[in-house]
Amino acid sequence: MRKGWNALRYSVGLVARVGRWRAAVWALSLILLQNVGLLGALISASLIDAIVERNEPRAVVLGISMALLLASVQVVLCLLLSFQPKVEEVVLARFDEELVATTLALPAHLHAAPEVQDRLEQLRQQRSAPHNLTYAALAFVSLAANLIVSVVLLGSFSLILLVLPLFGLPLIYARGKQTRSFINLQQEIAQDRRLALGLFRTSTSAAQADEVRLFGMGPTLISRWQTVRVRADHRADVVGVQTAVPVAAAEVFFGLGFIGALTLIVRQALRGEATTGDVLLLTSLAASLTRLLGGLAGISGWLGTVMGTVQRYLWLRERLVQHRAELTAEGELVPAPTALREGIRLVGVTHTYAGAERPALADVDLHLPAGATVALVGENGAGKSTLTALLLGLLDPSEGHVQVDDLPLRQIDPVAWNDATSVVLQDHAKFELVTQETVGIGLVPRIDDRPLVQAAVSRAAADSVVNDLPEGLDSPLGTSYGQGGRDLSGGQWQRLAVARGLMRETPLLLVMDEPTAALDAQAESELFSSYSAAARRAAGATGGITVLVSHRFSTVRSADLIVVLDQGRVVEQGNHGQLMALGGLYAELYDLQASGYR
Amino acid sequence: MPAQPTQQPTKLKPGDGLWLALRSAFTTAPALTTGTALCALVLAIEPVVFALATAHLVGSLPAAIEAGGVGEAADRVYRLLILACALFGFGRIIPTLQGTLAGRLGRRMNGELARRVMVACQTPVHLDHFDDPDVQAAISLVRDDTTGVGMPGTAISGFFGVIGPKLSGLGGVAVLASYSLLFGLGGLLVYVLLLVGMLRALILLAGTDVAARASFLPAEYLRTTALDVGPARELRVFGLSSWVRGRVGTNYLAAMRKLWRRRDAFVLGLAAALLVTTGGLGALLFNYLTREAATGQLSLTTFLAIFQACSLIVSVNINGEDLHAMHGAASMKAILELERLAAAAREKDDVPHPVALSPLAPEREVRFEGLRLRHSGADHDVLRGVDLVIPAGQRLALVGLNGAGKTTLATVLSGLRPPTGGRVLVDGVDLATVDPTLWQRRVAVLSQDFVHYPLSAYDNVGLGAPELIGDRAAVQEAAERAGAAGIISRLEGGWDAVLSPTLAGGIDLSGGQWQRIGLARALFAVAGGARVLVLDEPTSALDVRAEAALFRELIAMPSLQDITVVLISHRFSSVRQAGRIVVLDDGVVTEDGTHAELVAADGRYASLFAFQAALFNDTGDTGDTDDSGDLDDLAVQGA
Repeated sequence: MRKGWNALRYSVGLVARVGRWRAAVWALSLILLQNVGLLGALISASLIDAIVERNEPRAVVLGISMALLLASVQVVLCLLLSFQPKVEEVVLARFDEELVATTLALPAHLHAAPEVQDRLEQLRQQRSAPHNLTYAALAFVSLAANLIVSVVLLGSFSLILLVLPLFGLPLIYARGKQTRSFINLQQEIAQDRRLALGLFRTSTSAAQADEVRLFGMGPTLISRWQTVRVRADHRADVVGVQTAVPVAAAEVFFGLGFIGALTLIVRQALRGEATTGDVLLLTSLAASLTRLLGGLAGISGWLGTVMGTVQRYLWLRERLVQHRAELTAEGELVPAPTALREGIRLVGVTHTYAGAERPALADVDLHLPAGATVALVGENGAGKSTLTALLLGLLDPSEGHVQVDDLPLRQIDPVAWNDATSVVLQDHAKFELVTQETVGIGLVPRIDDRPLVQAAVSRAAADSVVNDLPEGLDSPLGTSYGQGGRDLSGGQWQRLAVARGLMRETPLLLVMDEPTAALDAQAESELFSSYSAAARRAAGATGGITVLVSHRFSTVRSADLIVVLDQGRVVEQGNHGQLMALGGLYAELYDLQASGYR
Repeated sequence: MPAQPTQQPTKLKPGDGLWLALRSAFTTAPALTTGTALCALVLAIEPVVFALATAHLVGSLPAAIEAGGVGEAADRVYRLLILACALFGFGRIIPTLQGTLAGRLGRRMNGELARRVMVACQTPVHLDHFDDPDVQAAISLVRDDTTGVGMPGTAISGFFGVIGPKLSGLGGVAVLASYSLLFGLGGLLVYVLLLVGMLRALILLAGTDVAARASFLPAEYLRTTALDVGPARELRVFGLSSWVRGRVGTNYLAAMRKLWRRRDAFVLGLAAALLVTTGGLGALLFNYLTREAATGQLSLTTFLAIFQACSLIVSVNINGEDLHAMHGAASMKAILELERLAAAAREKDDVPHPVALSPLAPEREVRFEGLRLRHSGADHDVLRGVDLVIPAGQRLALVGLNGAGKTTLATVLSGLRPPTGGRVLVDGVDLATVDPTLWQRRVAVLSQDFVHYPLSAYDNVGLGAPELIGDRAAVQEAAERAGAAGIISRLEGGWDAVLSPTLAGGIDLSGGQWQRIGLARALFAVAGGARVLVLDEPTSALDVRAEAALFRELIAMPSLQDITVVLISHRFSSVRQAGRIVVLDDGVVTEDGTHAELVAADGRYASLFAFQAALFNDTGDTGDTDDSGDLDDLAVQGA
């Protein structure tokens, strides 16, 4: 209950940010429109009575008011055509902002957690929830008010008419059940729908058209899709009929009640106990009961759904508050140092992912000296990515700590540490923006600085990529939202990702995770020669450390320090000469690769 | 139908496409459509009849009351009461029936149209079809959600829901006209103004999607990207939160503001016009009518009938449902356009008198003669005259720098793109004279971005040869050869494990594991009859040990003995094992021979190989990146 109230308060607050008076006008017009039928019924009843009583002046005044009422409803409806979507669009944009800000303020590992992912998935599909919740609450209140007034008017005429709403109870029940059934249905067939959509996209995608043709799998894909789709649609058909039958029956039941009420009213009028106007009024009041009751039932179901969605967002926000509290529990956060004197040190670091049985990293003690280029080597699953994530502050170790000079990383403001670091990932994002932005977001404050972006592109040996584009740095990239951009090859995307990582000229820590996997040997060497000059500059200026993860030993061997990981442990470390002399895992893997070139 | 250049299926015009969608509804489900339409018609007529019935009922009351509730006047009231009750009771069921039928119709139609889109996307034989911007635009309209508001089925189901009140309004006009032609004209004016004006406002509203596309879609893309897990690390390290916020919020609203001004201006004008016509005409009419009725010149029944008719006219309500109907109608046009383009492409690709290839072709060779390829819209050739003969059963490695045209050559070899110059001959037969679909099935490709199907591990391998998919032993064998059997047996659920993290109980594999599955799929295609196997960077995600072993094992595999294998790779330690190496440089073949021959020839290959080898040379100081930029120096050192 309290949670529901919070969700409503949050949503109304968001709507109020549209502007106080705008929000008020919006709310008032919605309430007015919901109740205009009642007002109209009251006026027309008096109008008919005035006509029957031959009271000309009164009839004329009421008649003209009725005409003006009908016209003003049209005017309000017309104004809402522009006003309503405006409110919705503003609320959407503000909610998007908050959702993005909250999500990105969560650390990466929390972002990926299933309980967060589930909620984000639902929020992504129901972004209008705060607007809808406010709307549903308003509609609920005005319908309820309308219903109460109608029932009171009916009862004041004849107490027997108070029975009529009871005839509507089955309708409320059937409608509520229908709404719930459809919500359950959505969940029940969500899996099939997602699968069907996945198969549909594969069959219609340009990128996957080659495989579909070469393997001749088109007809198979379509028949798989059809099976799933038909199954889901059939379920929806069945539920549709199953829930429609009780609703129709309840409608007929209410109809019987209405017929009884109408007969009662007419008989009373014929006995002289009611005026003609009364008959008109009571008839329209009784007829509107079905709309009011059905509407209330539908809206309460809807209200519950959208309230749940907003609550999911509030849960996310609470999770963030909790995370912040954990961060500052050990004292105030401090800014990142401007330069490294000694380096970064891992002290007794063990990290186990939630739900994993064995640690990804176990008991690691490691010193990365300031100004050094450090290579991480190991087979798939050795713990290299976990180690880099810990250094970047994207993960908090489950035991031990990371130390920047003599400062624990945990005490450094995460945002400041992010500003001091940079990264090139193997599974880098393909940001489908204008090329200048795709690179420039590596250093947002300088995103419009063309020479700087150009320089980063050159450092990444990506000039040829940019020169191949029709409009150079102004070319849009990708086609996923109809921006008409060029679709790049894997190697080209990777070089732009490297350029993005090199936007920051003197980071304290630069992590490059397989930055050349998709590149040929020449491009790889161009990259490393142009890049290493920059790295040395950074090392000289700020003592910045470069951490390189690579399967290519030809590149690894030139690092100042090579760290060999195996099953989450550091098994060897030293420079190339030392490790070869040691004759361990490094030497074995190196020889294996080198033998291909002898 | 003549071809129209660059259509814009996203542009909305009322009624445009709606007719086509209606026709499609009738052909897809004639009975269901007729039933839904009949319900809509009843729903349109019922309010008019009910309004007239109550007008007569209430109009007859005063006389009956005066007569003391008995006699002819009272009997008339009872008769009318029974009519009104029957109408009301009958009318109860129709909306529910209509909703059920319309929902069913919408689903049926959406399903059928989605299937037609899939067929249309698969009909064209060649990939160039997807380069066409018209094709891309049409697909993007229906790709996002094949059940939702953008689809014609949803539009038609909504259309039958919203058409009722509009027809009732017209009924109101008719009632007015039956009393006085002048009243009828006035009613018609208000009706048309309401309908046309509000529809026009709604189209302006829908302009959100078209006019503000430039700012709207990037904002949407960024929002989705920001909430995705994939780029989560980069977004945080680069501190992109506030930048993305600005894009999805402030920038988006700034762009929307322009649209709002246009919308507001129109809506204000319309509101003023409505106030003057509806309010003015209404006040005049009601002033006249109430006077007449109150002085007894006009019967109460007539007054009420006119009164109710006016209410029906102004109940012509336009809302979001109408917008959905229009949206879906637009996508109907896109689907038909897609089918037209697909049929045209198919006609173009059709080989008039296809030459039959032996089922074992290539038995002798695949020959490229002066092969050229230029992508549509590009200003230069990617392949600039490739001459190459690949004897059947050969293991050939294709090397070259990024962008040399290796992958493009593979798509031409597999018949996915017809060359824009020169020919491909298989056992002396020009591929242009062979049914392209038959040749495509002869080539199995493991591409760099092979598909991760959201299906079971079994299907992910088995789809390599759909007609053999029931053969469990063959699927198992392909997986074993590819080194994927161990990975699959360790999965929870084994072969039945669903390989998609977004489906309940689904599993995601690592890049290296996926690469094994992809290889198994390609090997299964060979088991299904493919005679040429193309492996495009098959080891990029594998670690050192796996990489070193893979190609050696593939070469030795007995089942691949007569198969022509083309390996594309940057890793020279793998490449050198091939019996023949071809160097592609800027779209032409520059070198061709065995590893030993090419090293001896001291050309491009030798320098590239030496360059990579030198990095492992312990005597040289080539590990120092200062010198490594100069390729020629290194080549000398390496040789």
